[in-house]
Parts: sequence; C-alpha cells; structure tokens
Amino acid sequence: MSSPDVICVEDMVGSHGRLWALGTIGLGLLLGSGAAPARREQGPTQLAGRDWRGFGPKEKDAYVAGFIAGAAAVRGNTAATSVDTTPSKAIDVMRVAKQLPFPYSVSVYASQIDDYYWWENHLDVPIVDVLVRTNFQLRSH
Amino acid sequence: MRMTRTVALVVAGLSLATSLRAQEQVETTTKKAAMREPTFTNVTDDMLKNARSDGKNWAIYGRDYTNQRYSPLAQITSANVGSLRMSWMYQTGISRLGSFENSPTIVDGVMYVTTPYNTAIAINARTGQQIWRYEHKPSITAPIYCCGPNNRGVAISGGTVYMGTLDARLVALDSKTGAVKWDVEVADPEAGYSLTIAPLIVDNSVIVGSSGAEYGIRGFVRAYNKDDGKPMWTFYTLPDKGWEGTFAEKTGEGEDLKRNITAEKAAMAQYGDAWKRGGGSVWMTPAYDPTSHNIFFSVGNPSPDLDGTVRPGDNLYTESVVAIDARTGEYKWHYQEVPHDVWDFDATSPAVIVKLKNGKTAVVEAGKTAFVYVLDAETGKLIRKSDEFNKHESYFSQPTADGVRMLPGANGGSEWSPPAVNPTLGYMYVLGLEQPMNYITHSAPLEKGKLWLGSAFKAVPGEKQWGTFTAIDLNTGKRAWQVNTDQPMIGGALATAGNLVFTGEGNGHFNAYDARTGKTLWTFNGGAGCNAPPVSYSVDGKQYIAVACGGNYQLGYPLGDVVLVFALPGGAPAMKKGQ
Repeated sequence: MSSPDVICVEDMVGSHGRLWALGTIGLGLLLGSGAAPARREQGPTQLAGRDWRGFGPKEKDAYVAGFIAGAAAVRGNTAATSVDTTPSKAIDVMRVAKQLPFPYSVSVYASQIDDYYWWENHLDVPIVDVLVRTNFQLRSH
Repeated sequence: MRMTRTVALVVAGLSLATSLRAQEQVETTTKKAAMREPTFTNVTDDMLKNARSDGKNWAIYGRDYTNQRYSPLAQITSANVGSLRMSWMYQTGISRLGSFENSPTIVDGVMYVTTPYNTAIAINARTGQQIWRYEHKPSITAPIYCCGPNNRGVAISGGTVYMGTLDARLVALDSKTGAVKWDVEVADPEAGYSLTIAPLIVDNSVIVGSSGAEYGIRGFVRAYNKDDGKPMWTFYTLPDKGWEGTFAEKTGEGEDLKRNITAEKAAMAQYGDAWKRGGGSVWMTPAYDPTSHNIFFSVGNPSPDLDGTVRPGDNLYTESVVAIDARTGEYKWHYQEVPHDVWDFDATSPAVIVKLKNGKTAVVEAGKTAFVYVLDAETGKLIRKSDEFNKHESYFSQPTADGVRMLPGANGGSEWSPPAVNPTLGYMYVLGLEQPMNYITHSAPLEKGKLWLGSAFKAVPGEKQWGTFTAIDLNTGKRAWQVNTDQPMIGGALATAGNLVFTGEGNGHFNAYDARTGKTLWTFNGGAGCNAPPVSYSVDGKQYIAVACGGNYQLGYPLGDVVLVFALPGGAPAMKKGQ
C-alpha cells in the first residue's frame, strides 16, 4: 500500500469539515489515495492513541466508518468510492450483502478502541493496528 | 409344638407371597409408568401466576415470578439426601462447548434445555429420552458476546417455547415438536447485541433484555407479543435524558467513589451523548409482581468498561436495580449500586422479590460489590445492605502503576449466579468469589485477551482464590452461615422445602447443604464444572433434582455438555397434596 498524503486534523475548520476529513482519512489510508489538505506531517497510518483521545465521539465514528468503508473498497467493492455516497451509506449497503471485511458496527470498534487506549502504554500504537487486531479478535470469537 | 411350627410356616409363606406380590406391583407400576409418554401441557397464564404453589413444575426461570428458586417439594430432605442417586443423565452432544449456564424448564414431565450455542432440546423428564431438538443457525458468521457463549434457558407459554440467541434473535418454537413458529431480530448482532437471558412471560408478552455492553450498545428491555413476535414496548437502560444523574460522589450507602467530578462535568460538553453507546446489559430474567404489575431487573456495566472519561456522569441506569411497568415499559424507580463504575461491579445477579417479616415486600439483589441490597419494592429505597459476603479491600480504589490490590475483584462478589431463598428461614443463598485482583494503571502488555478489560484486573500472583456460599438473613442483613469452596463460585442455587440448598462448583462437585446450618450433607462429582442453577420438579409423585454440568468459559472451569438428574432410590415416597 502506498503512503497516503499527510494531513493535519487540528487545522480543519468547522465540525463538518473535520468529520468529513476523518472519514476520508480512514477511507483513504486503506485505498492508498490522497485524503485531505495537509500542512503538518502526520500520515493517517500514524494516527495513534493520543490522536484518538483528542477526537470527539462523532470524530471517532467518522474515522472508523471511513476505515471500514475503505477496507471494503480495497476488497474490490466500489460502492464506497462512488461519487454520490458517503462512507456510512456504503457501509450499510455492504453490510446487507455481508461483504464487509470489518463486519461489525462502528460503535463496536470505537468502544473497543476506547478501552484499548485506556492503557497509556498503548497510546503509541497506531489506530489502524488496533482496528485490525480488534477485528481479528472479534471474528475469532 | 408341631401345630405352632406349622402356623409359623404358613405365616412366613403368606408374608413372603405378600412381599413378592408387592414387589411385583411396584415393578408393574414402574414399567407402566416408563412406557407412558409425557403430555405436552398448554401452559396458561394462571399456571405461571400460581407457579409458587405448583411444586411439580419449574415453568419460569426463577421457578415462580419471585425468582426465589425455592421448591416446595419435600420428598428429598436433610434426613434422606445422603441416599440421593443419579436417576439419568443427558449429554447434549454439541460440537462446540461453552459455558453451560442453563436452568432447565420443566412442565408436566417435559424438560426443556438450551446449550451455549442455542440448541434447544426437549427431554422426557423422567427417563432422559430426547423428544426433539432445534439447532439455531446464527444469522451472522461470528456473533459477538461477552464472557463466553452461553444461554440461560427458555420461557414457555401456551404451546410455545421461547429462546433468545447469541445473534440477538428471539425464537418461538412449538413445544411439542420444536418447529419454528416465528423468529425475529431483537437487535443488530453486528452492532454488538446478543441475548443470553431466559425470557419472561407476562400475560400476552414475552420480555427479553439485551447484552453487549462491552461493545458500545445501548441496552434495553423489550416486550414482544408472544403470539406473533411483534414488539410492544422498549425500555432503554440508558435514558436519553438524565442518564448523567447527580454526579454522586458517594454510593447510596455512603462509600466514597473517589470520582473527579470536576473533570467529568467538563467532559459533558464533548460526551453529552454517551448514553447512545453507554452499555447497560440485562443479563438475567426479571422478577415480576402481578399485583403491582412491575418487573424488577438488574442492569450491568457501562460502556466502555474501563474508560470513564468518555462517559461522564452516573451512567444511569447501569449497575442498578430497576422497576418498570410490565404492561407499558414505564419507568417506576431505580437504585444504583455503583454510580460511574470503572471496576466492572455490575448488577448482574437477578433481582428477587421477597416478603420480609415486617410484612413489607422487598426486592433483593446480590451485587458484584459483595453486598445484598434489600430494597423497598414500592419505592426502590434501600431498606438495608447486608453484611459483606466477600471481603472488601481498597474498595472503589482508582488503579495505580504497581496495581492496587482490590477485593472484590472484577468478577465480584456475586457474578450472574441466581441466588435461592428459603422463605421460611428468611435466608438468601448467595454464590461468591474471593479473587484478590490488582487493578493496574494504564500499563499492560499489548497482546491480551479479547476484551481489554480483562487485562486491567489481574489475579494477584501466588494468592489463593476460593469461593463462598453464604446464607444471608434478609430480615437482619447478617450472615447466617458461610462455607468456603475450593474455587470461586459461579452458577446458581436451589432451595427446597426439605431444608436443603443445592449448588455446584467448578471442580465438578454438586453439593447439598443443610439450609439452616450450611452443613454439607451430600456431594456428587459431575465431571465438568457444575456451574449452572439447579432445579427441582416431580413426575408421577417422585421428586427430582437437575443440574447442567458443562463448566464455565470465563473462569476456565472444565467444559462439558451433561444434564444430571437425581432422585431417591426405589419407588416414590408419599408427597403432600399439591406436590
């Protein structure tokens, strides 16, 4: 996977822009495509526990939703990348079709990540790694 | 002399012949009984409402609506329990084992059992012969659920058996055949919802509670029309208004919770909608009072479990006993045992209705906090908190880097295990865990178990863990007696009018104790852990004791798949009317 463009979440103006950016980051990092305008150097794959802790609930959801949709897109499903859909709508479509490699709802992953980053020595672990690890553990129940 | 000897021989011969005839009659009766097929009774609302006086059946999860798990059967007593023998056993033969937490349901000679992965089975309760079997096919590949796969049992009404499933569905089965009558989704299993609860029938509704608080759900209790599965009402265990409570600095009994209220209030701006994903599982079947029409249930942990910073406030109604109207779902009252819990001190063990000596009706719950809470059934006000039934150390401490040694540990106190009550003695029998744990601050190996919570609380190395089985006098709150067991206790209890109380252990022991003194009177090794609530019933005038021995996933007790049924040897001794 190629490295996505750098981003600066903190400099996003307005909550909608920030949410959209986070969703796009999640989507983009899996697609390997550019995501959002950037000034400070921090790739989305480097976003980790401290960033997560700085997100509000909607931002966490947006990030995870984007990631899930991106993961689905990587699998060859183009629904999430079509012009007239959002990551969350694409997720709904793919969920019905049981095509999601990350099959659980955003809230499931977000709550698990919240607890994961309760551990201070987990804070440097990239969110992406936590998502993948959580998904593996949930699916191997 | 000769005459005397002749008379003696005649008498002896007559006596022998009479004896043989009697034996023959017993055998004939037994053979006839053995050949008789069980009937499938149409379970009426009156049967459920009068279950307390109907000793032969166990038609509701807690035997009757009070949840007391008290059987009026008295054929097996403290005097003869030493003669108890295994009558039959049934191995479910399921390919995937889990925590076998089932409480069998028995109606007129038919026993209904469920397995950890939602196989429902009907069995002849006298012989152990299988009648039918339904294997639920999950709607998603990998349902998620906390603490190991399990199912606690069915509800029955009319000719229908109801089972909740791990993929959060409610299934209605024909009680005679196991055929599916209807099957509805209660909640989205991919959103973390699951059902492990045994449903409750109230009038025309079947009531269930959701699990999944470890995965960001918003918990609820919901009633469905028992005929067609259409939803009737929903009560959310996280209300959208007032869920933050009063930012209580202390519990209702005055213990300091050591909260940072200032920080929590500041966090409200960002996390004011945490109720949407705030947890609050309802693991266990509610108790029901047909007079007030209220149901009473316990609500589990908030979500996320550990990180209280993202869910400021009291997180109502988590860790609470709640009363609602069974007809409408309308809120009546709640009592929160642990506001803003970060210790996983759930209210998981089921609520139980009791009548106190002073005539007051109370709702009691054995907490993970290792106290029994006695609440006024009308108002929810605390009447008394019992003596501790497990030790307390560094209670409500915040974690430290080296780990603060805490008692109770994260499993309690009392886990989900349903207690039993002897209403004559006024004793409640509670299973407890003595598991000293270190609560560690924010530093742990990166590779841990499925739930991050599991690594926050660590067993203290080298320290002994054990279990307790305690009789609490509900009229005084005092411990009447307590016995220690080799391992922490999980499963449930049964009390009977024979002055007995039964429970099982993780090492496979299934025990009978004198209800008055705690003296062990009988024990049987069931192989796998006997970590399920026992039940008692009668068929053809004979009393049976049944228990599922299939271990516990969470505590690592040996898994298995057997239902064991015990009775006194020989024919059926006389029973009192109504038994």
